[in-house]
Amino acid sequence: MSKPETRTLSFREALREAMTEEMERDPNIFLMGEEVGHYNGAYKVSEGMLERFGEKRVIDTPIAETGFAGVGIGAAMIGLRPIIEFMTWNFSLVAYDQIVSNAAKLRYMTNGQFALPIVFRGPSGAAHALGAQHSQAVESLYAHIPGLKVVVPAVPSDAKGLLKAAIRDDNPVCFLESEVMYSLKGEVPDGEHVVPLGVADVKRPGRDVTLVTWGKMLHTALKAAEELAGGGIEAEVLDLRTIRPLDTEAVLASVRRTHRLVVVQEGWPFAGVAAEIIALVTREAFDELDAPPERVTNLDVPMPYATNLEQLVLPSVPRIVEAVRALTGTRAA
Amino acid sequence: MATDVLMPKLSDTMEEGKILKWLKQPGDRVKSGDLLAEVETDKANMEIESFDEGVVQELRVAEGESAAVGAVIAVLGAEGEAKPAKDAKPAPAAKPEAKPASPPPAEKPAAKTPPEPAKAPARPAPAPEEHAAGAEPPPGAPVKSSPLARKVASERGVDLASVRGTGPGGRIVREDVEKAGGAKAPEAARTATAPAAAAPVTAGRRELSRMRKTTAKRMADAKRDIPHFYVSTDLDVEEAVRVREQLVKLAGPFEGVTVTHLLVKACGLALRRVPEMNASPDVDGVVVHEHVNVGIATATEQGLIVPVVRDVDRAPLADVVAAARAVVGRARAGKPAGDDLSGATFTISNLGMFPVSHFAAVVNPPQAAILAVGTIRAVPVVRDAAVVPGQLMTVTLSCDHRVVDGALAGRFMGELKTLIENPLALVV
Repeated sequence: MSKPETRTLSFREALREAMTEEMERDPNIFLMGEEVGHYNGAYKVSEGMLERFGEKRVIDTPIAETGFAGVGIGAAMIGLRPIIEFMTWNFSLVAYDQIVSNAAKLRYMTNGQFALPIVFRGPSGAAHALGAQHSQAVESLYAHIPGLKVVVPAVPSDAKGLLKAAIRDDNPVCFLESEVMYSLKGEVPDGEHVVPLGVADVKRPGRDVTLVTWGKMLHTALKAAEELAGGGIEAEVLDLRTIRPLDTEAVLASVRRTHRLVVVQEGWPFAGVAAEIIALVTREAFDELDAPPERVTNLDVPMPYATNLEQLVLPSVPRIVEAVRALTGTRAA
Repeated sequence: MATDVLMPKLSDTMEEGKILKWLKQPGDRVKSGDLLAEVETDKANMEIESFDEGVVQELRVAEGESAAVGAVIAVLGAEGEAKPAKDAKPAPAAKPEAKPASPPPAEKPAAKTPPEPAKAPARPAPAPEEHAAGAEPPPGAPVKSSPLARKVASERGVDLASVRGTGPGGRIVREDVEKAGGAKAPEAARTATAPAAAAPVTAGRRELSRMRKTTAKRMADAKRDIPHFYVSTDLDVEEAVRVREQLVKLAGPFEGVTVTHLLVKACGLALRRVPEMNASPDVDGVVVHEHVNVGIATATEQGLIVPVVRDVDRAPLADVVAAARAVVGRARAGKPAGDDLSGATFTISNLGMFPVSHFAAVVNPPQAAILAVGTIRAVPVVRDAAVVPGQLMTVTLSCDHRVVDGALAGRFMGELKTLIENPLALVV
């Protein structure tokens, strides 16, 4: 298989390409949210799309998440394929009832008579000094709910390929981006590029420990792996890409190679995605473990406003390195 | 085989330890985990425990004397193993209680006590090379090992007690096991997977059903844990066979009556007459059951199950017949009702439909006994001092010796024999 030609795109350009290509392919797809049109997007993801597709398909809404999330769900029920942008996922919490009680349930409760082909997307997690209410990583809140898919890309090529797959999916998909990654550049394959949901990706192979992560924590984990390699520890970095459906086989296969697991998760530890992965590995790969599984997460506090404290709360390279060394013991000396 | 007891490394910085007091003497039996000695290290006085079992053959370091970490301080042997010749001179043990408090300087006893060339120098051999960077678990702590290390150790036949852990906190990890069993492991693995010429050719394999798995486990547990003994007797069943034929003719409430049903009733009455048989083992005790419930071992498509007839001693024979037919019928159909399979206090296993003259069954815990019933044989019997044609059935009672003694089993068999040979007692 020859390597496809690639172009260098930013994360936001990759997202824009995905939406634009899909909207050109299928007239039932439309984009709706705060400032997506005339302002060209709060983070310029939808720049130029109003001009290209017009006001019927790129729709500015009032500041009313419950309302436009609900309108999107209704539109999806009658056959349209909405993309609902939340300016940040923190604001989705006022629409939590719409997403959890309606979007996640209606396909099931109508015995499949209604499909729910809707994508909710926007940035999640901490950026820089946005305060406790605007720094929340929401994947655990949504991955908890059967009926929702949760996708968290970490690089531009996955951002494009996964968003196209999410738009084509007949189920509600929560698509979590990050303010601090919108300008991240990366190679994106030319032409049609779709990354299936539910397939994890080994971003760095290694033999001594598996770092399972997703979203912007991938970059922190990769830096930690680099530092660990300097000390002779080869960490495998597995990017989940999709939280739900979870690629359990990829997680277990990696742990069977390395026999040690550290999950790196933005967000709080209690009942988080990391806990779910550790439960999976403990149950399904108990005899493969050479050390107790560990996780590196946000500290269990609301995010402080001060940037120095914010850095302490978020998973960091030193904390990941320390966690790995605690598992590998004397080998880390 | 002799096992060396080594001076353990009781702290990170410990290089040698002084024996303050031996807690075992030559000839004492030692179990794994028993305390062997009090040792003074650079940090504290600690007790050391044995990781092996055996009989103390020799103490090589006198009380008050020091030994380097890893040096042999005592030797354990197997029970009954010939003690070494020099045992006649139980060197350090000679003064066990003499001076526990103020040990003499190391050099003095070292010079005179152990005539042991290996450790003759006052400063014994250096610690073995294997001393690792990993922290040593304190004595008495269980040996920590990762699940993977345990799996690999089990595959390679490596004894984890002999492996030194280098993981965090001294945990044994895979690499430690591989190093410990490294030399022979690949060979063992190869022979395990190589197609052995002598291996039988498999004609197929079937997965055990859940029920058969349960039976397999329960029977293995029972045969391993229960001290079985067996008593047999011949029952003259000529009368019982005749009574059964008459009952069959009566039909009605006796429809479908079998010799097994008569045996069930007979066992019920015998258990009432010998209630100590109607019992189960308890921790340091025996529980005698109020109700007499007899199970009938029944082969089904899914496996062996034991439907239960309740209160067999009190129920009239007709009720026993009806109940037995109902529970066995439901069991064979694979549709046992709620408590069809629970609460038996005794079991009958009848192979009389096969040409099996006698056999011994495995006790079905927590019951105290099970009766194995052979086929009815036409044989010559002595009756009124004459040899005449007769019909005999051999029954074998398997007993849990923790609950039942031979005399008790004999009494039960006597009652059973009286009842089955005078079958009107079963009907009235």
